[in-house]
Amino acid sequence: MITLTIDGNSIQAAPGTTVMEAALAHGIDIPRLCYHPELSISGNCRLCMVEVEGWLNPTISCSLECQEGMVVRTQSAQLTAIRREILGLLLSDHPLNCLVCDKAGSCILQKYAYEVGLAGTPYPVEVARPLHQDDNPFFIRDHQFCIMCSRCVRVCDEVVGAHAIDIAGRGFHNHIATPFDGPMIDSSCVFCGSCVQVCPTAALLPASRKGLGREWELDRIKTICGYCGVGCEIEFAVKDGEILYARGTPEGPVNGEFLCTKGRYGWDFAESPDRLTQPLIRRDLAYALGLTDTPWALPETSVLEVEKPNIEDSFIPVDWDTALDVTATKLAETVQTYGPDAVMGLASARCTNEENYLFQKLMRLGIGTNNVDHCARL
Amino acid sequence: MTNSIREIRDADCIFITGSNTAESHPVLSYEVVRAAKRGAHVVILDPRRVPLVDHATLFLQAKPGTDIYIFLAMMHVIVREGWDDQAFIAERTEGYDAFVEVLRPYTPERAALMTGVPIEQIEAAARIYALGERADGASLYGDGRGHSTILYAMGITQRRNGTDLVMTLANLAMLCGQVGKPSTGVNPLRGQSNVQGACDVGCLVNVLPGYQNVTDAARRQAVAARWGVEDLPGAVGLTVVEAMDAAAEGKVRAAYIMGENPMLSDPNTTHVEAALRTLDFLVVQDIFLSDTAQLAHVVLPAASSLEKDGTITNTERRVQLIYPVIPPPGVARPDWEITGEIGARLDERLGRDRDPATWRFPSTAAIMEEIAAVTPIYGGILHPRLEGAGLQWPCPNADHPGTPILHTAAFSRGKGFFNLVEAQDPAELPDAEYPLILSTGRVLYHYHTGTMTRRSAPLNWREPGGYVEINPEDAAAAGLANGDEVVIESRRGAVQTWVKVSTDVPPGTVFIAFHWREAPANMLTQDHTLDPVAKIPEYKVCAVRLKKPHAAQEAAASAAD
Amino acid sequence: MLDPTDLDAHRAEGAFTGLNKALTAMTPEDVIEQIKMSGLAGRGGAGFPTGLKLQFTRAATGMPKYVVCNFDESEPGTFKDRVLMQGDPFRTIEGVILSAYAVGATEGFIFIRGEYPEAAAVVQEAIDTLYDAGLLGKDIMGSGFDFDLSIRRGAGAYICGEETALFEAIEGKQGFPRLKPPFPTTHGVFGRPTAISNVETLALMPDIVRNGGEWLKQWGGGKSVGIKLFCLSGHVKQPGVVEVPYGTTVRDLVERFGGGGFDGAPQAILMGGAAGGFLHPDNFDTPLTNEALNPLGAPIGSGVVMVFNQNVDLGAVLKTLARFFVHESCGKCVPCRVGTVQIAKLLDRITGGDGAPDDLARLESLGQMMRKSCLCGLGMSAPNAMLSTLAHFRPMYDRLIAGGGA
Repeated sequence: MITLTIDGNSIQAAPGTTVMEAALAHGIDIPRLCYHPELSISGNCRLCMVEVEGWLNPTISCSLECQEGMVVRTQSAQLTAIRREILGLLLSDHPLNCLVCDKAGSCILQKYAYEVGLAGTPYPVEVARPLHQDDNPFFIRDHQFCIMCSRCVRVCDEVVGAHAIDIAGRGFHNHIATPFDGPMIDSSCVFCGSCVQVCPTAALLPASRKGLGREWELDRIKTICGYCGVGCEIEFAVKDGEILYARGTPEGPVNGEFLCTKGRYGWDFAESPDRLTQPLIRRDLAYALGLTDTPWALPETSVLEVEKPNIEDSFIPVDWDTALDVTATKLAETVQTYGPDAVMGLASARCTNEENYLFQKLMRLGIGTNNVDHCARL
Repeated sequence: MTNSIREIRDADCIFITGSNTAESHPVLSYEVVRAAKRGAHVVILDPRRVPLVDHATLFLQAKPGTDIYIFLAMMHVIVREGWDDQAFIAERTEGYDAFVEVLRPYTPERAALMTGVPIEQIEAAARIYALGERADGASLYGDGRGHSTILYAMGITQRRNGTDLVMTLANLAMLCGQVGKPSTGVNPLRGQSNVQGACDVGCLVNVLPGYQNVTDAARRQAVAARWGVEDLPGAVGLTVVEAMDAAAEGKVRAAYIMGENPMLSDPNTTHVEAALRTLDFLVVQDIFLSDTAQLAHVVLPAASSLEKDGTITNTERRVQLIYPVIPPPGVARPDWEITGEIGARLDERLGRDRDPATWRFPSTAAIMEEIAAVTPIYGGILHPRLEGAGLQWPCPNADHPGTPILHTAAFSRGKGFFNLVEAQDPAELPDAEYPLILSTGRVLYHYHTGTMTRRSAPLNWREPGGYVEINPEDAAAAGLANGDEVVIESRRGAVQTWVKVSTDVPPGTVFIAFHWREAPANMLTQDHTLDPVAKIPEYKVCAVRLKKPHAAQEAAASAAD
Repeated sequence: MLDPTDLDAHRAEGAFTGLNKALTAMTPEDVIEQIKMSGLAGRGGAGFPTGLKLQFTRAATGMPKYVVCNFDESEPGTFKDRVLMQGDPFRTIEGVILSAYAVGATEGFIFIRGEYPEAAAVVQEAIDTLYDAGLLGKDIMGSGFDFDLSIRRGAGAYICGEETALFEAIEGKQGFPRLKPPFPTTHGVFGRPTAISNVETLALMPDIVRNGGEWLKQWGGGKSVGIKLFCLSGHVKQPGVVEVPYGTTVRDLVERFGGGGFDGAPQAILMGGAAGGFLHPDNFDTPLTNEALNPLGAPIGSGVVMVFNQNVDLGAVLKTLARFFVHESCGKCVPCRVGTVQIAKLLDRITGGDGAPDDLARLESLGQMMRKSCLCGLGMSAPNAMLSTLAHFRPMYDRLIAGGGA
């Protein structure tokens, strides 16, 4: 282990650790925009400069390896001046739309401007990238807010492996682009939204949240994704019982901050108007039970031929007690008439352990059969 | 999985077979991408050029159904070259000598002939995997050979010899000592959010919770005692495919289906629909009126995974808590409440005088306490312990920290046994009448039978409908172009969909995903030859032919005359 | 003058005798020792000791190793490398091969700026000739040493003269500079140990090896050892490339070798190019050494000596230089990407008569910040010319702000 001093604290770090990593691990917060712990070091924002005793000039801490006996200062008049200058430059190329910005409250540029007390820029204002690209229902690319930190480019290449975007052009007017600036869908984008996840500003925004709520109005609820077997942790942002958007968090034990397109964007099924909202009994059974006066028979054409089933055509709504009693009665009749092995149960690879446990208990203990399976194989 | 997902990024070599990881397990594929970017070898064996091949250092494109020859040849080469781990074999395994004898005829030359994969690629894959070579230099580990991990999915299991294939991969790992250490192991990638957990808690015909055999009277009676009875049924039940046959024969008369859609997920759809229609009583509990629910007598509205609490278990055996994010619609209720109610009322109807608390639980946490009591591998898994990162089973007691890596000191049975496996061909091979092989699978933007994802606006914008992938050679031979409509016929049925001409599939093979109810892939798949042990249908290989829609109509019309 | 690609004629004059001596009578370590002894420092502008660079690259682990000849020569006002290469490509290539032998490289690249088609043609012809003569490729001069050399062309970006951006360009990527450390000696082109040197530096190596390390030390001293090529341009009677020992005064250079200024006395000399600074007439007697010129903000750099007479509007020149950096900033780091634009905007405002005294303080603090915090040498040196005028030509600014513009 290496021992170094950061802001007067003696700190132990493993060889190869950067000063940024060592500082963050010990609760010392160094300002940073392009740094992301899961991505390669770009070193483009220059905010994380620190002073090293005996060194002529300050240096960026994200790429600075800890050395034995190194004495580092993360705060000084010189460093504050540099950071104010850099933030002032960034704000000269970034509309101060905080009043109507969806990212207000979680924008990292806003956070640092607040911390150094910058209400605006001392420089003439020119927004380099007025481009607004809203060409897909997953996310909006609003380049005027882009600070060219390149986190999105790096996550797409280094984590997702899609490399759908890169930096086009040179200098002040460079920008993040798909090949030939074509629409997102024509690129190798897999719409996982990892770029949106790591964007420090409002340059990349989930389309689903635009204008619907400020950060501090949202409830944050973590749960596990209901799609594949990887088991990613997702944090939902909810306002008034409706989901505004989903994101990962660094604490996700499996996925960290990263999700796929289904996990991040595929939750709107739950709010579909097609959801079943009440118990139903098929019309022929309902007629037999005296719940309706109209006789009915299940059409012989395959259900797959029905383009969009209309619930009312085939079912009548009932209350829970009716539905549950009919179910229990019918299952009991089958057991009594044909024996327990005339009943089969299909549990679900999409239900919880508790639900599946109770289901197989019902089949084995309640019905008395081992005919309980699910689509593990399918 | 024997090992954990986050170990993958630190592997020296990753061997992926029968898994379209980037589309079916996207976030897990990020681990593979990271490993590749750091210089690991990524070796992929698959009939299709799956997207992750972009990051592979070696891609073996074998003809569908022939991979067994490659695995056996790799082991043949490993033994021949002395790349096997003799220390591990001596200390941790048995059956090696007989096993080596079986490998003798499976030469790389023979494998090359059967699979179309060059000998050099087979030998390179054998060396890279066995020795854990990195693409960019020395192993990340200093403990002998580099660390290699195997990832596989349903390309291996959905086969008539799926059990053999899984045992073969286990043999390969044991032969090279690539098990029981970080970033090694044999790692099946489970397809659905809680398929692992559903198996763990006993939703299988032959085992009680925790994989306790129903035929083991002592284990069975122990569970029965906890449930307040003397014994439980001891005969192995009917798997889903068998139960459909039994239903068609009138032996199964009623079915309770919770959150499943066999109309699209089971093989030979026509047969499945006929079987479900035969039932005296079908109750389906779901969040949508699925194709299966359309046939139900009673439909019970359930809360979705975003609307309830409980636990699910991921593919690395990690049991994690889920939380309600939004309220359920209408009067929909969590499945556990519904099932509990049915249990209590069933007891009443059957005149049983049992405490309704057997079924009606105050919370999912209370159910988990009962699971822990009857399930040894979940013995220490209780809700309060799961906050944060959850726990990986086996976790036998309340002090146990969980098990990220299996088989570190010994295998479940003690010494690992080299099962003797011979090559076997798929059950239904192409012939003059049905000259192409159909393989089924998934696409990135959809999930299983599509009931959820096809109702997601962004996902549907990106992938609105189904298609069949056809190699340019086969497309040209059939006179088909990109975007044409085409009818795919097998001995079981026909589906109509759109052509996507793609070199991702090799000549002679077509691929279709099973998400689309308007083009249900399982109209085509066969249900006559299942894996003899696991009873899994061979979704990855069946014989089909292509027709233009008007030709198919004419043929059907003339057949009707 | 010899035909630039007539190998026999050049060999008759002594070309490749240094290489022959190295390959037959010296170990790679001996070569490095002689270069170190000579005090040779990089002639591209940064001035890093060449012997150390070779030593670090030789010591670095990882194969293969590379040598790169930086012939991007894109500093405005610099043309010495082109003159060297078009007149005698063999001298530099011999230096490249010596470097390769010293560090143990098996492959090398000459990176030539896109605007030098004639020079590229000459270098390519020279390379072809050397392959034919067994001086490149397998078993050079029968020594068992193998070395391949080829040309890579730039596409017009100033940033690609920066060594790490140059590596990116060779690798086929956009010309963005990399973070340092790691340095090229361990992580150069394709991530491998690389010795990269300027054309002029390499061109001095054959003579050093042939004559021994002491040879170069007969000129100059301190951190400015040997002889240096200067590019005289602007309002000078005889513009061109001049080789003088370090320590010659600026005035001597301009008057003796350049024939003096014309159309009036020089009001300023731009030293080091766009990345350099303006020398005030009060300082024209300063010797051409790094030690003397650096503190004046007018470094030798790549050897630009650009003379401006009294008729020139210095403010307009500054704006041109500022716009040059706006155009050439790669845009990777914030201080350079936005800072270069703001220097240009503030200079526009001041020269347009809308400047305020505060603007000078703002320019000063912006420039100082850029020097400390930019990612690469381009951004760090972009404010140099402006800062040198704030320090030494302050009355011009005061006039502009007081008088409402030029």
